[in-house]
Amino acid sequence: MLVPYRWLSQYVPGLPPPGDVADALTLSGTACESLTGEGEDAVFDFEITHDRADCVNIFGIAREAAAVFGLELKHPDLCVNEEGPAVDELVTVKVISPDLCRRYVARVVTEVTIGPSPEWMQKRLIACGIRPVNNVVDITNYVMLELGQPLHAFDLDRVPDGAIAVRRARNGESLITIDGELRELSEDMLVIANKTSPVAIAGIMGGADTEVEESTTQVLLEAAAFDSVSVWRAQRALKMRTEASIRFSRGVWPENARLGVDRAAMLMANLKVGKVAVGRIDEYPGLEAPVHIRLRPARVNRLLGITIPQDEMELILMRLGFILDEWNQDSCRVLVPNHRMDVVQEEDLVEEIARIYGYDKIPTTIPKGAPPEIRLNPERRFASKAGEILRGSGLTEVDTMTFTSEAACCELRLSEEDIERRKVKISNPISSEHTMLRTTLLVSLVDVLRRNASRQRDDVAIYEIGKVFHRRDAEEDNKEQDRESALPCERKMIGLAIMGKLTEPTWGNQIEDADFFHMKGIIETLLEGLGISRYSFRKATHPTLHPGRTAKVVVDGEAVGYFGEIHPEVSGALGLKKTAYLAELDGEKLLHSMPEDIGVRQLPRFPAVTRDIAVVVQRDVESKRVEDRIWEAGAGLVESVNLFDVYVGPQVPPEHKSLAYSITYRSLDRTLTDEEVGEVHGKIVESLTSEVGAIIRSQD
Amino acid sequence: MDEKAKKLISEARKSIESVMNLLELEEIRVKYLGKKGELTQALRSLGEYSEDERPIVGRFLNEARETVRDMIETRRGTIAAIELENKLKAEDLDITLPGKRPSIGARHPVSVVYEELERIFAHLGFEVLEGPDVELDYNNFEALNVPRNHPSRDIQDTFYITDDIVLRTHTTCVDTRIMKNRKPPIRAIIPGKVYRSDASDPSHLPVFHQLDGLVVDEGVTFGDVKGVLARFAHEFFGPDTDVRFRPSYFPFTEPSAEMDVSCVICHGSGCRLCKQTGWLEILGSGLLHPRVLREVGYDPEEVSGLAFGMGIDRVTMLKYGIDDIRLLAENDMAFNRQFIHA
Ligand SMILES: [Zn+2]
Repeated sequence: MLVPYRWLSQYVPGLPPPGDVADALTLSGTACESLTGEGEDAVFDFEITHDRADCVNIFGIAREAAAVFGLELKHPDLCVNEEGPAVDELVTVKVISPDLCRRYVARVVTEVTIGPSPEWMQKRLIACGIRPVNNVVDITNYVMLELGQPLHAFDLDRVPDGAIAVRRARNGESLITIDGELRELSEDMLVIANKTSPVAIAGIMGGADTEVEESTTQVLLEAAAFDSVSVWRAQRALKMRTEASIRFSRGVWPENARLGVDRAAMLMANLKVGKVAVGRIDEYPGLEAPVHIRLRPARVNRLLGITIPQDEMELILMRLGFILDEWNQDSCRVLVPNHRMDVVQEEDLVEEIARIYGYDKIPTTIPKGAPPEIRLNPERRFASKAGEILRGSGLTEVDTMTFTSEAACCELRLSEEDIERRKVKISNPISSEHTMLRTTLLVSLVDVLRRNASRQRDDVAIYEIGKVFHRRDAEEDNKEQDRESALPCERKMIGLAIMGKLTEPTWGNQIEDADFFHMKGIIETLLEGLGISRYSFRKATHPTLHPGRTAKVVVDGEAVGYFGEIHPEVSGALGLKKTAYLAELDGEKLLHSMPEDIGVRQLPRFPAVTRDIAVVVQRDVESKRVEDRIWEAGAGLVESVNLFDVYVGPQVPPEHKSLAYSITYRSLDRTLTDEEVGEVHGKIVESLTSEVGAIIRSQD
Repeated sequence: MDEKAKKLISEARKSIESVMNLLELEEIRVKYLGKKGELTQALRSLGEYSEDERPIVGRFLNEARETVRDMIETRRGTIAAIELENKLKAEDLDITLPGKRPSIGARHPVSVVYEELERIFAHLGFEVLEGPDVELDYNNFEALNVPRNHPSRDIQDTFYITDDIVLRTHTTCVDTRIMKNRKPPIRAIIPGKVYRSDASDPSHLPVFHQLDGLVVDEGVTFGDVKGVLARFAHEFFGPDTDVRFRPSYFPFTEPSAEMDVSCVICHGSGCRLCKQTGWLEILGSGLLHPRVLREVGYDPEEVSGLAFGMGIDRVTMLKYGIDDIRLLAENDMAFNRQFIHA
């Protein structure tokens, strides 16, 4: 809110220079965002917090400044020069919906001469960002800026018999507002109406028909206290934000309506706009008792962690307009001034005292009690460990938005039915790319691949540890009590994507583009690093991945994720130049598969014997099957099995492949003899021959 | 004889010491000690000496043999060392050729900052707790003293899933969950993504990151708010950082305070980043509002609490001098990989 220094200082004689005012008000809660101009011509831009509706006006700021600097506050002149007929001979006002209008005050100005307002007033309006119109409108705006009370001026000649009703709009009613738009009204909106139809939308905008014009001779000045929630809702429904509606939405206090209308009438009379009729209309159905709060100075000090003397507290509150009485041993009664709608309880007074006393004077302390027993968060530890391993494998962490869209999911070849069933849809999206929450990390990862590829970065290795979201299946019996069950299921996943070279090619070091087995190796390293050893891989399918190059990761018999080569269609749609490999693992399942402790095995005390063997099997025999046989036939003497070569070519029959293994034999309690090793090795050969149809190509 | 042998030895010493390779050294060995070597020959011709002279000359020649052999062996060692050194010298590398690196990944700057904050607050006894991104309107707003259909909802533009379910606008909503499930004392920080229906621009993203803090105990004071947060500011922004607290408004705290730190660029003298104020707004904080305490079943006369919340993206941008928040969400490898050492 813009506040000219000259205008402000009018109410606070002796106000310090603008720079000091800006600093002092900022530190007491009225943040000065900027200060432009010098000396008397300076203009502040204050950011008023949402609770301080009483400060969205020059006089409100003056009240703060006077309290902060301990200066006297000069009130605006409200002495109205009345003449002519009594106001109730000219208008009648009926408040038909008192729930939406706590007070309605009106005055009438007769013999009006429309013309420009004086130059000083126009200057002030312009300084505050409001365009001058004519003397009547300018005065209403001036008073709104000055006191915070929105006012509306009607051309009274256009209101038959001067009969005004404040009521809810009827369904189907409409109004052409001053801006020329036709507004459809509804029952929950409050209107100002003549005998038959609305002439203004209460608190938002007047109708074109009763707008003050050159020809206007009689003006009805309205100052009301409309319900803030109702104006707020109407403003949203009609998509209209006006200076008045903004102020009504934040809240106005009924006492201000009388001040506002009198101030405007006083200016009308003094600036010779017309004659102010005698008296004012004042319908006040919402009169409420003033707010009283019991204040315990000891509690104030206890909450702040300081000892402010009681008389200092008293002084601060009095400077802010609070009245203290009914003192007893340890508390008093505090009467809240009517403009302080935000102060309703003792804690609010604590803040009032603290902010004027000065936040900077409150000592800094550390909470006294012993800290609670700290529980290490296993999920955070897991994520940090997994991240370390993946970075060690060369993957860079990404952090993506959790949004996606149906179109992006379709691009991943996810079935529409599946998306529909699982998606958590945003009911008020602001972009067509962000219409739902992601159901898989793949959608975010490929987006990163695409963006990098479009910037000539084709070698990318990334991971993300982040959430995916699924709608819960609609349960048959709707458990009304358990609101939680309406929330979607959120799971933390580990997503991996590699594309192109994993390390920088250098001299004498041939680097190939990443393939399926690089991704598999990264996953194996991750699992090993997490201490998960009981894992295996099975062939699988996934719509986003190559149907022949996809595997699922199984730990303890349970699928924990999948990986594979990107489906060429997806890759093509994304415009990737190199083949990408994608993986998604369930972080929670992995966390639960991690061992609690590391059990150290005894170091081997007896020597090992290594024998190599190369077998030829049919192409479709999975190497895992061969390896499993070796372990099984090894009778507990096999320590490790290492596949060191896979060969397909002229040396083996067509549709066959050669697998070369290095098998290490060791016993924990004795040195193995050549005969023993020979015997076990023989059994392995026999088993491979009989069970997987292997032909022994060579062995040592 | 004596003279002759001495001359022989001195000649041998001279040639041994001047020889530079093992081949020549071997020739010298043969010349003196070989089957036809001079000393060998001399020993063979002992018979030419008289009975009396023979043992003396014999002993003398044997000693001379030993001496020459020793000299040759010593020299052999020296030459071998020199030859090895020369050979190794010839094997030298251009050590300025690039190393063959295993690859290493970089962390995302936001997670670097999160981890640092978690460490700082762990020292103050805070544990890390998390909650769902998709939250009940009740936890995100109502329990935090922001009623439904109320103008105060305008403060945060909210993404809705249904009328009752929102994408959380702050991680403060987890406070409600924690307090409902636990009894004081509580000290927790809550990291996580939050959502506001703002269009992307250099300082806004619809999805960003927050860290909230919560302390509930008997006798928590406003001084504690200042103390905990000043400690954080000094650890995170450096010990010379100035801190100030300004009154502010949040529906769930009373009294409320905004914390500013002295500008990381100009250190208080005023620059573009701090809009010439010398201060940067970092976080909001305050004592928990009594209505919030009552809502979770605590008695505001018995316990008090403090809460704070900060935008992590902004803090990250300040720490690393990033001028556009969108860089944090783009994940351009040229950007992300700059944080390898972070
Ligand atoms: Zn600065």
